[in-house]
Amino acid sequence: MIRKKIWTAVLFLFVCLIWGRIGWVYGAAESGTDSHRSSGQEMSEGTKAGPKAEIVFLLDGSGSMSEQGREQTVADAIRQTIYSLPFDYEAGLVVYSTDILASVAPDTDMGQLEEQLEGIRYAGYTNAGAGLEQAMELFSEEDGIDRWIVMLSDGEIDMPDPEGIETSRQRYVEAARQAEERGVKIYIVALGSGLKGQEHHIFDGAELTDGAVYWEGQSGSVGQILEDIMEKRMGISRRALAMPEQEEGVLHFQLPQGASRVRLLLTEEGVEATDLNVMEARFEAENSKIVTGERFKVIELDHPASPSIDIDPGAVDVSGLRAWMSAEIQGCLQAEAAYRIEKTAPAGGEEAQPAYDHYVDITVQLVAEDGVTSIWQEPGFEGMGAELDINGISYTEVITQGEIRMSLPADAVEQLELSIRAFQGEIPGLTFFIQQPLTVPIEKYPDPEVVSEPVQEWDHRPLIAILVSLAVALAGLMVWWGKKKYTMVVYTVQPSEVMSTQKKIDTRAFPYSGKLNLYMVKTRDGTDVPPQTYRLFGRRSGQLTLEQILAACQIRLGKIGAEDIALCPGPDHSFILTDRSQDCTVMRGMEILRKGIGYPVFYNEKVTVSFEDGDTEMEIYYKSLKPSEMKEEY
Amino acid sequence: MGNVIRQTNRTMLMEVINPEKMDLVTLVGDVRGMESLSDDKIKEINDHLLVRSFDEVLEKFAPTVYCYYNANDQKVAYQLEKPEQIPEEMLTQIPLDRQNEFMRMLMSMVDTKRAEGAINVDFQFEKLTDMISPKKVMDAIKQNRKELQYTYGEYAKLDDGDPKKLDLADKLNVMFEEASANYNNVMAMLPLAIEDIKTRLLLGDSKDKKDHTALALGILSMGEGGELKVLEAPKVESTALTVVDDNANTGLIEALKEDYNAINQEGNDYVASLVARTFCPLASTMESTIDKAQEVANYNAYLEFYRESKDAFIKTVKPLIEKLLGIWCFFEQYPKKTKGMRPSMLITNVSNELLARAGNISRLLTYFNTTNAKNDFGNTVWYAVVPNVSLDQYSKMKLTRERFKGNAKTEKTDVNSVESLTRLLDVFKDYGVQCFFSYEADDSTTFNALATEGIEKYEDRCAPLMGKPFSEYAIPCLPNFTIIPKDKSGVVLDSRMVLNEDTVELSKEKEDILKLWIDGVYVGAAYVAAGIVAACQCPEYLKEKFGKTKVDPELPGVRYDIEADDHGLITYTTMAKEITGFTNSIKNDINRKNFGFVFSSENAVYKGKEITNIMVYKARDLMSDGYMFEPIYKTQVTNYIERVMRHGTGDFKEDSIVQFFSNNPSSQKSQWLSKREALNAILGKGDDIEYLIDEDNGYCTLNITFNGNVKNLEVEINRLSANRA
Repeated sequence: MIRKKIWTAVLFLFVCLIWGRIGWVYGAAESGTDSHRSSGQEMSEGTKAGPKAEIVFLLDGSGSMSEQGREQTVADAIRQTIYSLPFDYEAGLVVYSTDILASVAPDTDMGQLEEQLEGIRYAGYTNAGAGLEQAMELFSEEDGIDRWIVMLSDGEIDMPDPEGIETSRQRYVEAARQAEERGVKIYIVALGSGLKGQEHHIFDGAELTDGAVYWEGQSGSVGQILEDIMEKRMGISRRALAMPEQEEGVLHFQLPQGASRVRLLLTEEGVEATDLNVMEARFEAENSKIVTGERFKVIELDHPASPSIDIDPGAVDVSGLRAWMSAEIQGCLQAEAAYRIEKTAPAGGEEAQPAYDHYVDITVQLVAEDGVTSIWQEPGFEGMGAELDINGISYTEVITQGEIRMSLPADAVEQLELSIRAFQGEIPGLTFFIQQPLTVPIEKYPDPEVVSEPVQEWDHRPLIAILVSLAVALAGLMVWWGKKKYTMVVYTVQPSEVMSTQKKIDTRAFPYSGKLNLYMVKTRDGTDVPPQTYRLFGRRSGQLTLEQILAACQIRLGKIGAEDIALCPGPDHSFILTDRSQDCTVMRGMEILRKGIGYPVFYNEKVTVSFEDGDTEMEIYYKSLKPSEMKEEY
Repeated sequence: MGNVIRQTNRTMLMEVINPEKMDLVTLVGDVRGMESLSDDKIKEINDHLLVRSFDEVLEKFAPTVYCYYNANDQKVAYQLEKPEQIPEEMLTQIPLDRQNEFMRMLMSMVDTKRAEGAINVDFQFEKLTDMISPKKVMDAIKQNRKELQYTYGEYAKLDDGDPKKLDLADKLNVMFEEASANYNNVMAMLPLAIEDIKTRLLLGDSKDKKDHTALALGILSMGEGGELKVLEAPKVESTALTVVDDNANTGLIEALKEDYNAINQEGNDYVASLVARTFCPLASTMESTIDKAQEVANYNAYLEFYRESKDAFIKTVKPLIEKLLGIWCFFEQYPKKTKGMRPSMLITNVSNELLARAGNISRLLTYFNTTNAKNDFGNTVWYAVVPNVSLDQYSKMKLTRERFKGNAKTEKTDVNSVESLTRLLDVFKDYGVQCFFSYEADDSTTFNALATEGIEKYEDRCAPLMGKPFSEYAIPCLPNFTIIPKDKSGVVLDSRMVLNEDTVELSKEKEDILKLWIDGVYVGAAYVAAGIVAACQCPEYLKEKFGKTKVDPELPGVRYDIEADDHGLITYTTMAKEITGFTNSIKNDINRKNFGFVFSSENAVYKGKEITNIMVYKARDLMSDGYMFEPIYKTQVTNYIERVMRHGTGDFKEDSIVQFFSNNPSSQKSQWLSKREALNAILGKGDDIEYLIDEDNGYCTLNITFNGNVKNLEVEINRLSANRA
């Protein structure tokens, strides 16, 4: 038994070491925001339960919506929000102008909703009354479900004639009252400048249902507002993933073990959108779907076969990306019940008949559909409390090393009927469908005769020695590998300037600092590129290529050598600039950089780059950040 | 130490005055690898672009309109940019200077209005707008020709070789030069020709004349019976002059004709005679026989052509004239006789859109690196003026390349986009240049519009510029100034002439009155705002306003808060009041957030003296603490302190910083504190300055307290240089 435990520990240590190197990104998930479900993650029983919540997006399709060119942004923000929802949330859509333009019930396939959003032709008036009525009709009749309406509009109720306006207002208020009765909250996103101030009839919906009104601009962009509503108002905890380090240009996103459906959502921040189509995803799954929006990309896998999704970002700057994952786990409980007899001290002294207590040692695991993958091995479950019902009695136990172990008195109990009621704590983004309850018979045997057997002590010292040496060797290997990766040649000019030397420095020892002001002095087609600022301060100490920096600033030059000009952090708040290109000319001040050698660039110095196409030229000013600027949101 | 900064009011104007002249981008040139410019280059830039008075602007930039004639549509075309495809000899260059009648009219308008102190609704704009009518042009010439005739008469009297004759010859040369400006292009001749025909055809015509009998010139004589008679004079050859002439005028006529023919090789006799008739007394040039039908047709054609061409001229030239008037108003704020820190202006002479292109911004950076990032402050730029910013807050820069610019310009193409302003503000913030900007000047941005519509419009337009790192350098100036309101900008040129049988008269029909519309002339508030703030930098100016005792003669007016106390009533602009005032609700709106650099046109009395000028009501930038916008002086004092400190501490050496703020009487802080009673004290009453050194980050943070409000300044301590080698 002890030997088995030690080998398990060895294996666990080894896995931990490897994970520690490549970054167990899933384990680094950010904690979710405040949720109103503080009781923990509840279980859905059976293979497929009903939706946990229903959301209907109520979109104004009137002509004014297309005037500012915001229709694409709004549609994209809605799509992104829907893809951010956990699997047990269902989303519907109503688009209205003078009449209802589109209506998709919450239990409809996402493809249909996409089609309807795509096909909207913005025209006509703003009959919000009809829209809200239709939205209310789309909700199911099921009890115990949270329901919300998110309304996006840029104007007050408006119809061709005053009677029409009055009718629409009445319908709107009536529908809002109905929503209030059914506990449906209405959140309103006021787009553009047409709905400034508080005094608008359209805001009655939010007021009556204890919802809220958000103003675009004042409360952020549409995307940010929807995110805010989702997290703060609806209390949806999403699983935000820390962006893993690139390995050979690829991002590895570890998938949750045993998930039957997984959805990875990559969203982009920044002023202008990048073409996310250039990102490639690699994975194995029974079925998959990839959706790319203006500012997001969704990869949805059905029964993934690979342990991770590998993303090749191409020219997309990964520092501007955020990743979210949601997964559906269909599992079943596995339990072992080991009958145990313990001898107790006899009541009548040593001469009396031996007495025995009877226990059943229960080991419970949650396994995936394949019956093998242990769900609770996921690090997020370690130490988490779980509420179990065993034979009708509630217990709270802690998950340790992927399973729950507990002991119960076995007297007069022949079988166990157990089910999981809830977890104390939450792993955001995971939705469970568990086959339960599970019945486990207890195989009992008669009380044994007293047998005294000497216990043999097993000498485990050689094994520990081997383990320790293995771990040390592995750590040494990793340190060497890391050093090799982050070491580069830096050219420094001697004071006499007669000769120069090169020395190796470990760029990982320095942080990035300051910012780069980028000016495209000349472009091949003569277009004017607005000046950009790229903040280096706060970035991880990896190598950056100029192409990545330009891509982050939405500047695309094609393959003209920017990908071969690299930056690393250097000493004294400098950065090391290396030109590995074939035909680019890079100047630090008046000095032309030699190929393949890193040059330190200090604050207030200027770098001029002439690219391989012979036309494109840019200037880079390296500037410091004041302490107050460093504190600003990155 | 503070005296190292001798000027704190160099202003950069981001506008084009004459595209044919040098501009900042061209002069700075290629800056690849360069971090700053040479002293020679800065001198060259100053030689070309730096001006200290309006006359210097006219001299250095020689603002010009190019005129050519299109034979296909028989029309005259005007352009501000020299048309490259048209040969030089086919182009006429019209200088826009103080002599230009349109320019002269507008400047007179401002002067007269200031003198009268009348608000727009009461001011008789028509009295001055007719300055560009042919009649007024002729009136001006009449005065000139009187002098010309007198001088020539004196000249003719003297013997050859008399030294005095040579002096008079010099004088005559100048007068001929001025006169030739009128007759070396046909356009300038048109009003002369119109008035000339009118004079000849309507000779003797007056308002009182009732009959339409033709005029026959006669001689007063006595009849045989002693009665008085006017006998018709004997007719002579058409080209002959009347007998009553003197030799002097004959000589002058010959001289003028000769001069005209010398200048215009393809001149004709008609124009030569016209020149002679115009610049010589009427009697000498009067022709006795006239082809009336021909002359009436000519007159109507001339008048129509004059109206069309004047209309085209005004439409073309108005944006440039508005810029020139803006510059004039900028310099007008500082009294001519005051000798002190006279505001200087560096005119980029390049369009904002072009300067803000990424390729050119690096040149601007290099220029500022030289003027604003060194410890020589003679050429430091403190202010910038960006007028005519688009009212569309999302306006973008034009994406087309410069070569597509040119033809078919409309008025709105001249506005500066918010995007280009944003790009420039981003540069200004790094070099401590406070930018006065005003929105496109038309009737929607005047005092009148502000008084009726309120300030919310401007707050909305400025929203994209708020909450940004550069916000404290963005100063929205409003409202714009009206030189001629749109609804009072009609100019009656004259009436068509009609020939009834043998009688010529001016038509009385309404449709025969030829009128043109100037469409309003406005000056951006940014010019005046920068002008008054620049003037207030001069201690001499402040002395004149407040008296010697209150002002320290060595310190600039960086801390002078024009909003505080009665300062607005003492240092007011030179612009005349435009309206009766803002309502209380508008003022409450302005005061609620203290938004913008706002001028007021109010009834005010200071020490018993009525103020008829426009005053500064608010002087705030776009930096806000969430409730109020910050006064502009805070930013300038902070920049001033930073610059003095950079100079005094050898680029922020740590030990020197400690000395700078020590309690030693010779330290800079002590010196400033010792002058805190002065109106222009750097640290006034209630102000203080403290420093904090952050060893970890290598920064020194200054907490500058203005009347209890703290503003931070962070400077990087100079200690890395030793580690570099």
